Amino acid sequence: MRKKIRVLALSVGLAVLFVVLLPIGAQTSPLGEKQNSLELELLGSISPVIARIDLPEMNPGLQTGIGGAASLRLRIDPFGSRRTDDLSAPKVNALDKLSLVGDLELSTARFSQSAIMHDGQLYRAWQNFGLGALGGLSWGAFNVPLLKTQMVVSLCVGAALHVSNYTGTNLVSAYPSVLAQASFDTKTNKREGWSAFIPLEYAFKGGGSVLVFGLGFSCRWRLR
Amino acid sequence: MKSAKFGQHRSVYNKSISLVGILAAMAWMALANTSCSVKEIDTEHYYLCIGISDYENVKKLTYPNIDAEGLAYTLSQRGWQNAIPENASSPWKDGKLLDRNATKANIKDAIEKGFADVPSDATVLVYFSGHGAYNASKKISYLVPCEYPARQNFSAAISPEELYSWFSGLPTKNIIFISDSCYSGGFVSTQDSGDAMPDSYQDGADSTSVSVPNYALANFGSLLAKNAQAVGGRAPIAISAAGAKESSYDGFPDKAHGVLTYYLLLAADMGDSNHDGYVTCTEAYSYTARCINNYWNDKYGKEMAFYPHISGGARDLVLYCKSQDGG
Repeated sequence: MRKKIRVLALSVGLAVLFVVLLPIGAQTSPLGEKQNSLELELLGSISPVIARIDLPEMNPGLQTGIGGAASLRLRIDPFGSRRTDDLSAPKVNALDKLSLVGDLELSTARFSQSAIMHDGQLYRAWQNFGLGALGGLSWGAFNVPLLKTQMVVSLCVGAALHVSNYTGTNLVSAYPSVLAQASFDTKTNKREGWSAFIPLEYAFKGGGSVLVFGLGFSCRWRLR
Repeated sequence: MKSAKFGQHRSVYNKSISLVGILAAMAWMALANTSCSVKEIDTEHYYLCIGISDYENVKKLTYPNIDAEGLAYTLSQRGWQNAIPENASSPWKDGKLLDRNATKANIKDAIEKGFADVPSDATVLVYFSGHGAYNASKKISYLVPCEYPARQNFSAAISPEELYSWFSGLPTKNIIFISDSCYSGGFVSTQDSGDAMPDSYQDGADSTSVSVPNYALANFGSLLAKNAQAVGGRAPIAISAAGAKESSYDGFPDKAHGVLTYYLLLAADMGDSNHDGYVTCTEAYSYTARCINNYWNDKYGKEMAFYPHISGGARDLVLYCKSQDGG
C-alpha cells in the first residue's frame, strides 16, 4: 500500500511540476528569443480501451470500453523557438526538437461487463469520470514518409482521480490512478491537427487493480 | 496553388486517419470478442427459498410463501438445484422452507446443513420473503422468522451478523442473498462504494433528486477513503427489496406476489440487458429497481415508495442461467 501511495504521490508531483510550474519559467525568457515557444492546445479525444481488472480471490477479467476526454495541452520549448511556418526548416541541434508538455484532462470511460467465468462469476459493467494531470517530453517534428506528414512524439506520465458507478446501480466509488501516454501528433501550420495516442492507466480500485490501455484519436485546436 | 496544397494535405490526413482508424477498430473488435464471449457455466447452483406468510404471533402476510414457491420454480427451470435435505424429515424440502417450518433454528440449519456438501466453486442462493424489523437505536435490520414473539425481541430475529456468519462457514464463496422484506437494506454491504440511494427512499424526496454525480461530488473524500480500505474479495452479493429504514410491500394487487419478487421473476425473461443469454444479479436488480420505480412508486406515491438496493464491489454472479428449454 505504501508503495502505491509513493508511486501516486510521485506521479502527482511530476504532473504538477509540468503543468503548473513550467509555464512560469517559459514566460521569463530573458531576451525574447523564445517567441512563440509556448503553445496551448485544446484536445478532444476518443479511444477504444480494454481494462484488465483484477480482484483478490478472483481470476482477472477483461472489459472492453470506450473512453472520451477533453484536455488542455501546454507545450513549452525551453531550448529555442520550435514553431515555424516552414516545416522543412533545418534544426540547429537535437535539443531544438525537444519540448515540455503538460496536459490537464477531463475524461470519461464506459466499460462493458467481463466475460462470464466457468463458475458464473464476472466483473460488473461500470463507467467513470476523471480529472487528471500529465507532464512529459515531446520530440519532433519528424518526417513520416509513409503518411507523408510530419509528426511530433510525446511521452507523458501523470495521475488522476476518478468517480465511478456500476452500471444499472446507484453505487458510486472514487479511486486514484497513475497514467502514462504516448502520443503522435501531426505537425502542420494550421490551428487544427490530429493525433493518435496510446493511453495506459493503472487504477487502485476496490481493493484490486485495473489496468486500462487502448488506442485513441484526438483532434487538436491551437489556442495560442 | 494554395488550395491544391490544402487538398493534398487533406487527402494525406484522410488516408492516414482512415488507416490507423481501421487498424484500431479491428484490434478493438478482436479484443472485444475475447472479453465478452460467454463460456458455458459448468458448476453447480443450489437454492434455498424461505417464505413466511403464516406467522405465529405477528401479522400474517399474503404472498411470501407464493413468492418462495415461484422463485424456486423459476430457478429450477434455469439449471439450479435445491438445497440438499439432511434426511427425509428435514423441514426444508425441494429447496423451500415455508411458513411454520421457517423458524430461526431451521433457517440456520437449512443454510449450514443444506449447503454443507456443495463444491467449492458452486453458487448458493438464499432467498427470504417475510417480515423484517429494524432496531432504530442500534441501527440494525433483522429478518423475522415464523416464531417471532408478539412483543418485540430482536434476539429472536436474524441479524446481518448472524446470517453472514452462517454464510461464512459454507464451502463456497459464490453466495447470493435476496431479501423481499422491510428494512432489508441493512443486509446489503456497499463495500468499496457508497449508495446514492438513501436508506429511506422518502428521504430522497423523489427519484429525480437522487443524483449519482451530486452524491459523488458531495462525498468524494469519504468515497476515496472507502476505496483505500476496500479489500476486494468474494463477499456475498445481496439484493434487498428496500433500504435499511423503509418498508417494502407484500401485496401487489392482481399480481399475486410481493412487489420485488414479482419483478425479480419477470427479470428471468426480461432482464438480460446485454442479450448474452444470462441474467446477472446486477441486470436482475437493475430491471427490478427500474420497474418498481416506474410502476409502483409512480402509481402509489411518495408515502408508499421504496427502492431496492444491491451490494457493492466489482464482482457479479449469474442469477438466471439460460432456460433449460432454451428460452
